[in-house]
Amino acid sequence: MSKESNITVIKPNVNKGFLYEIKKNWALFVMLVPGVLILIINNYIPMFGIVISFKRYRFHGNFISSIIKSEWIGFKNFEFFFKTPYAFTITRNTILYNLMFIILGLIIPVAFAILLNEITNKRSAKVYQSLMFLPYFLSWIVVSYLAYSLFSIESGFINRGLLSAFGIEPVRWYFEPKYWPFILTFFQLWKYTGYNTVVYLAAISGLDTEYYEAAEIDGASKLQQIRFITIPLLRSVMVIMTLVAVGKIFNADFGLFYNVPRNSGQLYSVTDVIDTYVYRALRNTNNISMAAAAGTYQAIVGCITVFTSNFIVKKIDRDKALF
Amino acid sequence: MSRTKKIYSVALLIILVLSLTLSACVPVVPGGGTTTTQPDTSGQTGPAVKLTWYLVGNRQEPDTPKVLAEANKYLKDKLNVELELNVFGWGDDYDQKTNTALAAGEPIDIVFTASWAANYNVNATSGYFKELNAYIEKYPAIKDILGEDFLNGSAINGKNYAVPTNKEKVHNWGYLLKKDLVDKYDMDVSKITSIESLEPFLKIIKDNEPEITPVCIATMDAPFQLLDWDRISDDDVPGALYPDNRDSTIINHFLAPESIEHYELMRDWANKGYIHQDAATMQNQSELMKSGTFFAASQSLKPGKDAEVEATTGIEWVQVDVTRPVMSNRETTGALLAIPAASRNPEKAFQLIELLYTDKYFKNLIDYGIEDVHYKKVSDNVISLIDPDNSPYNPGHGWKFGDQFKDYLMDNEDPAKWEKFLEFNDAGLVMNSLGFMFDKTNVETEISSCKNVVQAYYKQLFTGAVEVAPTIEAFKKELVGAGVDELIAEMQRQYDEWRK
Amino acid sequence: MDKSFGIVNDNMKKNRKYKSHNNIGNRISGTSNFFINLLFVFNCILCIAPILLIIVISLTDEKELLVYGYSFFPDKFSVKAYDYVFTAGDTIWRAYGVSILVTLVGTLLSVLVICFYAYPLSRQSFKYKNFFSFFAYFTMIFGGGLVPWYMVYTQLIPIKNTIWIMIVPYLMNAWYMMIMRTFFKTTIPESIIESAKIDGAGEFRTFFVIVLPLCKAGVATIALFCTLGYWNDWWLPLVFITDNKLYNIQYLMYQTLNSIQYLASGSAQFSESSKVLADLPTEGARMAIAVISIGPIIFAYPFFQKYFIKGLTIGAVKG
Repeated sequence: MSKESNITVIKPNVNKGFLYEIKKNWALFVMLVPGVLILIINNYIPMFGIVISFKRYRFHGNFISSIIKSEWIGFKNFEFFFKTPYAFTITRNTILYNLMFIILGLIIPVAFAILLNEITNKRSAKVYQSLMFLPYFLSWIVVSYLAYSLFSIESGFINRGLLSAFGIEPVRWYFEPKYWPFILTFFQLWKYTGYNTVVYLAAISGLDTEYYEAAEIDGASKLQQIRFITIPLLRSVMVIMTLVAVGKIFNADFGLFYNVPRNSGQLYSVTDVIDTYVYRALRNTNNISMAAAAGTYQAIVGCITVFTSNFIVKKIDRDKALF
Repeated sequence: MSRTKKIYSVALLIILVLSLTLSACVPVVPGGGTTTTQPDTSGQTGPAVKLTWYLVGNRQEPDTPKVLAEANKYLKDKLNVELELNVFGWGDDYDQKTNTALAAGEPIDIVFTASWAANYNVNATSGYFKELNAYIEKYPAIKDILGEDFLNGSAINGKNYAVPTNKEKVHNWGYLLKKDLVDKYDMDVSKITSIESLEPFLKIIKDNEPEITPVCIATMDAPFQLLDWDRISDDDVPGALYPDNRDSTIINHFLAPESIEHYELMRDWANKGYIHQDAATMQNQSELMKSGTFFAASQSLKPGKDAEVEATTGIEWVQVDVTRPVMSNRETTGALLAIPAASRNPEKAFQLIELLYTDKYFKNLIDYGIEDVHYKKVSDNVISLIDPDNSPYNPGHGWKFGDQFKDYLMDNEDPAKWEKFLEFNDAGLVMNSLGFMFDKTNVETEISSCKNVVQAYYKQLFTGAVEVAPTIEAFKKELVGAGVDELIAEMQRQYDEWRK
Repeated sequence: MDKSFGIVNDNMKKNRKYKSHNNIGNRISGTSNFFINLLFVFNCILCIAPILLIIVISLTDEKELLVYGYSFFPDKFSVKAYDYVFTAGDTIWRAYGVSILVTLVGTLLSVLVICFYAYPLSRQSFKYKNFFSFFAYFTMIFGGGLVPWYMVYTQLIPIKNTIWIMIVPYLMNAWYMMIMRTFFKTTIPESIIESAKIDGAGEFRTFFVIVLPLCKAGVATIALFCTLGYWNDWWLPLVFITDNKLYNIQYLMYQTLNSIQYLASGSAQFSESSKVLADLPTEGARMAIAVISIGPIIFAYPFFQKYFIKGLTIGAVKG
C-alpha cells in the first residue's frame, strides 16, 4: 500500500456504509450507471456462458432451456480440446507470438522514442512520427490487402518486382511456413510500433529536465544519460504497458492471425492461434461446447497470468503493480 | 493487503449475485421460449405470418425488396405469409451468421444447408433442424417430384431434416480447353480419355505458347478430382470408396495408391512446367481462366458447361468429358433447405418450400425477379435479362432450392438444357453408398483434427509443388496422429451397419 | 491503495515541463544525427510503401495486373476500378454512410460513458473507486464466449440488426477508462472541485463546466481511440448484421475479399450461377475500396493529433 492511501482513506466514512455514500455522492453514482450497465450487459452476463463448456450442448427449444437441459459432461469438452494434436501447437503459437510482440514491442519503440527525441531537426522528427503512426489507423482487413499485394506469389511486388530483379526464384510465400513467424511479427510491429513510439515519446517529453541538467554538469555523456536517467525513468510506463500485454498473452489478435495469412492451410502450423482455431472449429462443426471450453481455458489461464505477473511486480516494486 | 483481498472477494461476490439475478430474468424476456410458439394460422385471413429465410449467395441483390413485395402480394393470398429473404456471402459470412443464430435458437424459419455451407449433417444431428418427415407425408408434392430414393439419400438415420433441390442428380469430371488454341493446333480432343492423356496437348502448348500456362489449378479445382473418389464425408476429410462400386471397403483416399500415383504425375507436370508455380496459393480458378493465360482447367461437368463458363469468362472453351457420370451423396447433400427447430411457424415454412417445387411463377420470381422489370420473355420459357451487365436482380439462385426444372432458360442457353439434364441423370451410375449419411458424433475430434492436417497438405500435393515421397510420409504420420485410423474404422462400422 | 492501476512517479510530479530535455544544449553529433535520420527515413518508407502500393494497384489497368502483377510503376494506368466502385450501385455509399454515422454517434456516446465512469474513480473522496476499477478491469481479462454474448443482444436487449448493435458493445472500454481516470487524477486538483462546490456548483455542472474543458487533450485521445475502433470494426457486422443496408465499409471489404475467394474454392461445382462472377469487383476494384476506406480516418488524424501526444503523456504515462 502506498503512502498516499493512508492519508486519503477518510476514517469517519468507514463505518457509515453504502447508503450513506450513495446519499452523499449520488451524482458520482449516477455517472457510473451507464458504464456499469454496459459492463454488466456486454461482459458480465455472457460470463455465464462458461457453463456451456461443461455440457454437451444440444438444442432444446431455446437457448436458455438448451443450456439447462443439455447433458452435463464435466471436463469432457476440455479433454476433446486437449486430445487434438493441435492443442499444443496453437497454445505454443499463441504464447510465443505474444511473447515476441511484447519483447519487440517494448525494445523497438523505446529505442525509437529515445532516438527520435535526439534528432536535432524537430520538424523532421515530427514528420517521422506522423508517418510511422499511420499504419496504426488501418484495419486488419486493409493490412491483409497490403500483405497480399506484397506477398502474392503470382502478382505480388516482392516476387515480381524485387526478387525477379535480382534473378531470384519467386518464393511461394503463402505456402512456406518458415517465413510466417517473421511476416506476422513484421506486420504486428508495422501496425503498432508507431503508436507505441508515440506513447514512449510522450513519456520522455514529460520527464523532468532537471536530471539532465544535473547530469550534464557532472559531465555525463549522452549514452550515459540515456542509460542512467531516461530508461530508469521510463520504467513505470514500460511496466504498465507490458503488464497489460501479459494479461492478454493467451488472447491472440484475431484480425492479424485470421486475415493476414489468408487462412492458408499450409501455414496453420505457424499461424494458427487459439482464437483462429476456435473460430474455424465453430464454423466447421458448429460445436459451441468445444468452443466454449477453449474460451474458458483461455480466460482462466489469462487470469492466472495477470495475477501472477502482477504479484511478481508487486514483490519487486510495489508502486509499479497494476492493482 | 487484506483489505485489497476483501475488496476483490466482495467484488466477485456482487458480480456473481448481480449476474445471477439478471440472467435469471433472461427466459422471461419474450422471444426466446418454446412456449411462445404460435399456432399455425390455418386460414388465409388475419395478419400474415412472417417467415425468415437465410440463403447463401453473392450478395443481397439491390432489388430484393421490390421482388419480395411482389412475392408477398402473391403469398398473402396463397399462404397468408410474409417472406423475408436474407442472402449472406459464401463461406465465412453465411456460416458464421447461420451457425450462431441456430445455436442461439433464433426463430428463423428456413435456412439453406449443404455439406459445404451451414453443415447439414452437423446441424441436423445437433438438433438445430426440425424433422420434416411428417410434413413430407402431409404435403407429398416434394416427394413426388424428387422421387423417394433421392429424398431418402439426404435422410440421416431415416429422418429427413431438409429437402434437396431437384436439379442434375449426377456429376462427371473432365477438362475445359481454350478453344482458340485447340483450333490453332488442330487438336483431336477425342483422344483425351483420362487424366494423363491430356499430356501430349500440354506439351504442344508448353513448346509453342510461352505466354500460356498449360494447366490451371486452384484449391480443390484440380485434376485430382478426376479420380472422383466417392467421399464419405466432406471434401477435406479422409475416407472414400472407389467410384465404381467395386467393394465396400472404405479407404483413406488421400493416401490410396491411385492418388499417390496421381501426385507423382502432377509432380512430373510441374517439373515440366505444365503447372504454374503458385498454383497452390490460388483461390479462384474462375478468375484465372478469365485472364486468358491458361489452356486447360479441370471441371465438374454437366450438359452445357462450356457455354456457361464462356458466359463467365468471355473466352470460348471446349468441353472434354473424362469420367463417367455417377450419382453419389455429393448430389443429395449439395443444396438443401431446412427448417430450424426454433422456427415458430414450421408448417407454413414447409408450405412455402413446397411452393418452390410446385409453383413455376413463384420459383422464377425468386430466381429472376419481376417480368419486364428485370427480364423480358423471349418466348414461353426463354427469357433475357433487361440489363445483363448490371442487373439489380440476378442472384443466380436457381440451383439452390425447389425444382430447377421449372426455371426459365436464359436466351444464350441450350433450349434443350433440361432434357439433356434428364438424359444425363439417367446415364449416371448409382453409387452403392447413395443415401449413406455418416454420423460424426463419435469422432468429432478426429474429424476436425484430420481436416486440419488435410488442409495443410492437399494443395501442395494436388499441384505437384513438392517431392511426393517425403511429403506423403509426413502427411501419413500427421494423419495417424490426428486419429485417421479411428475415423476410417468408425466410417466402416457405420457403413457396414447401414448396408445391412 | 487508491492508486490501484497507476504509478505516480514522485519526481515527475514536482516539476511538470513538457519540453524536450535536449533543448538545453547537449546535442548529439552530426554523424549520429545523420544516421538516426537515415534510420527513420528508411522506417517511414517501410510504413508508407505498402499503402502507396495499393493506391497504385487501384489505379492500374486490370489486364496488366493479371499478366504482369503488382508494381509501383505500371505501364498503363486506369481509373476503371474507381469507376466500377462508384457506379456499382449505392452499396458502397450506403456502407460509407453507415460507417460515418456509427463512428460519430459511437465516439460521442463512448467518450461520454467512459468519462462518466472514469471521473468518480479519479476522485480521492470516492469510497468505492477500487471496487469499480476492478469491476471494469476484470472484463479485460475474463469473457464468456461468443454465443452467450450473441444471446444478450438478440434476446435481452434485442438490438440485433439495428445501427445500435455496432455502437453499444464498444461503448465502454476498461483500458481507455483507466487512461481517462489517470488523466483526471493528474490534471484536476481536488482543490478546484472543492472550491467549485463551495461556489454552489453541483457535480454535473462542475464536471461539464470545469473538469472537461481542462481535460480536452485526454478527451481527444480517447475520442481518437474510439473513432479508430468504430471505423475499423468488421466483427460486429459479421456477427450481428443480417440486413445488407446496414453493412459498414470494413465489412463490405471483408465480403468482397471473401466471396470472390469462395466462389471458386471447391464448392463452386454446385454453382451454375457463375455468370454473376463476371460482375464481381476484380483486383483493382478491391484495392480501390480499400483506398477509399482509409480516406476519412487519415483526414481525422491531424485533427486529433493536436491533443493526442499531450493526452497520452498525462493519461497513459503519468499513471
